Amino acid sequence: MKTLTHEEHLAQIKKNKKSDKVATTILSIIVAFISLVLVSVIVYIVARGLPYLSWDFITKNPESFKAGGGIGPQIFNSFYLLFLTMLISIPLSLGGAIYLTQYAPQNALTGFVKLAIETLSSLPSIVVGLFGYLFFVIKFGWGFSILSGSIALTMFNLPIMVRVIQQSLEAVPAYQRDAGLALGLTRWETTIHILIPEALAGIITGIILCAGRVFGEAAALIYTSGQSAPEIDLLNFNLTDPSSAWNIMRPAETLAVHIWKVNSEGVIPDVDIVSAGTAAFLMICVLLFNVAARAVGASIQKKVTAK
Amino acid sequence: MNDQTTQTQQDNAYALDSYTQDEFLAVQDKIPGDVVMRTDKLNLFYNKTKQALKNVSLDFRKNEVSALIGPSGCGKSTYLRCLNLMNREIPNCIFTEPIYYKGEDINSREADVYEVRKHIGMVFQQPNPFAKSIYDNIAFAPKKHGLKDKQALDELVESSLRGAALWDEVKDILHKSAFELSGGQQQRLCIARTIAMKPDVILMDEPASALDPISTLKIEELMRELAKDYCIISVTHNMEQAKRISEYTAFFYFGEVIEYGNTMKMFENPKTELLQEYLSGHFS
Repeated sequence: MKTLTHEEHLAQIKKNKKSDKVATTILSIIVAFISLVLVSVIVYIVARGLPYLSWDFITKNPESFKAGGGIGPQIFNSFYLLFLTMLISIPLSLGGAIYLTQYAPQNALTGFVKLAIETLSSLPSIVVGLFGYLFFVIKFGWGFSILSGSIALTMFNLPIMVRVIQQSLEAVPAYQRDAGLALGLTRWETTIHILIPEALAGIITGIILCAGRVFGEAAALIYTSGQSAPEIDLLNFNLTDPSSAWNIMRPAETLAVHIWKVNSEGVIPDVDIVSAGTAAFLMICVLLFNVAARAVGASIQKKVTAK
Repeated sequence: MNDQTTQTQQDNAYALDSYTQDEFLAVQDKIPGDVVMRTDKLNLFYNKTKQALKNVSLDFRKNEVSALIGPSGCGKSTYLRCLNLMNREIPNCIFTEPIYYKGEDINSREADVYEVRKHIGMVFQQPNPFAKSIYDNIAFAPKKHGLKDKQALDELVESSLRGAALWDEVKDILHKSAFELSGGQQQRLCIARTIAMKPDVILMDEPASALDPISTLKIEELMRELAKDYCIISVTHNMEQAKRISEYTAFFYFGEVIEYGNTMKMFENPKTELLQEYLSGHFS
């Protein structure tokens, strides 16, 4: 390498600074463009729907033919399905991710399982929905039901959740695991008491983000939990009664499915109002999920590391 | 009486010499001291084909610091990680010869690997405290192993921190996160955590290489202090450090021990040509 004179050296520094500046500017423009697109979508949807969001709208039953229906049952259905889906998928994906990161031998079978999970995570949700329709609704005879819907949603959710948890666990440095094992702790104790607490912020953030995805999913539910929202009674705890809100064998249209339905086959005169209001409500919920994910993640991180 | 004196002198002579592996196998029982760990012709393979350790025979005695030296990739860390069976956590890493701890083979099916690791502690290159408070970093493992009494735990935490020369610096912040400590303090916390298990052997894998010179000095002093109670085996990349801390040194080269024996003797008067070249900096 040839030695530079002082002047050449200064010129070199100037050139480097300039190219650095150009690159930073280009990247900033790209990021600004992406942010603009996303923000305008959110603002548009919320601004269009917000005027219609009233207490009446979010608590009343929908109308089939007249204007002025609400989305009360759909809101309940969305949260109930989300709750059941998470109830099934969190333990399964935690177990799966722990096994894959801590116990699975590095062989062809494990490789195949990981590949399968990656493939499933990009499976179109309408395919999951049709599979759920043929298998749970028809074959198992569960009909259009919350049960069929939440299991279809679990199938849709599981691969991504496993991967999110797997990544959080893998992000914990290997020497933390070594430290636990070197103190005579078993792999299980090391995983539960050292790795999971350190990965917890990432795991919870991931789970909440998955919740947002599940909450807004429509295609997987159209043919599984169905498109009808019968009147439901929140205080009826007879789980076999079709009018009980908590009956998992009843059909349950969610917010996202409702938007799809009123727009595709709705005959109510106020389709625009209902779908704009529903979309705004859905969007606000998903936004809240994301904000919550960040806040919860940060506070857990703080709690776990700086006690 | 006279016979005994000559016997002792002779033993001392064995302790002051250095050996190739064959020579060592002939005299190993004559070196004085209480052997805590022994490997006998230990071999280790990765993926069945790549041999990383070849016939390594070494003894480690109580109240002594032994240094494992050698160029990068010579197998010294790999060897260290055999002694508490940490290599079992690495897929496709195979080592089958017996490893003796107080005369018992710990590398057998019957031996409880988790029990073994309570007796043979390990301190790593990178300080790796848990994301817990200083107190819990030490109390956590003993609690899991069944010590529940609060007072006993408090005492254990204090004595371990004193043992690692850290008590005075942290006694008022025991419930703060371990991550708030400096790198050197974190490493001494890791040593305290290891002492709290009341082990017989402490394995150290370049424990000071990630630290600044002052912290390094503290760790070295601590190692000398710990040798009063434990058998210390430490990998080091720094030959001056090996000289300062250890009674015995093993020189590794491509998975084999080329020379082993008294540290001073080996550094001042190396027996093998390879060690001479290594010490004069021909390779590292």
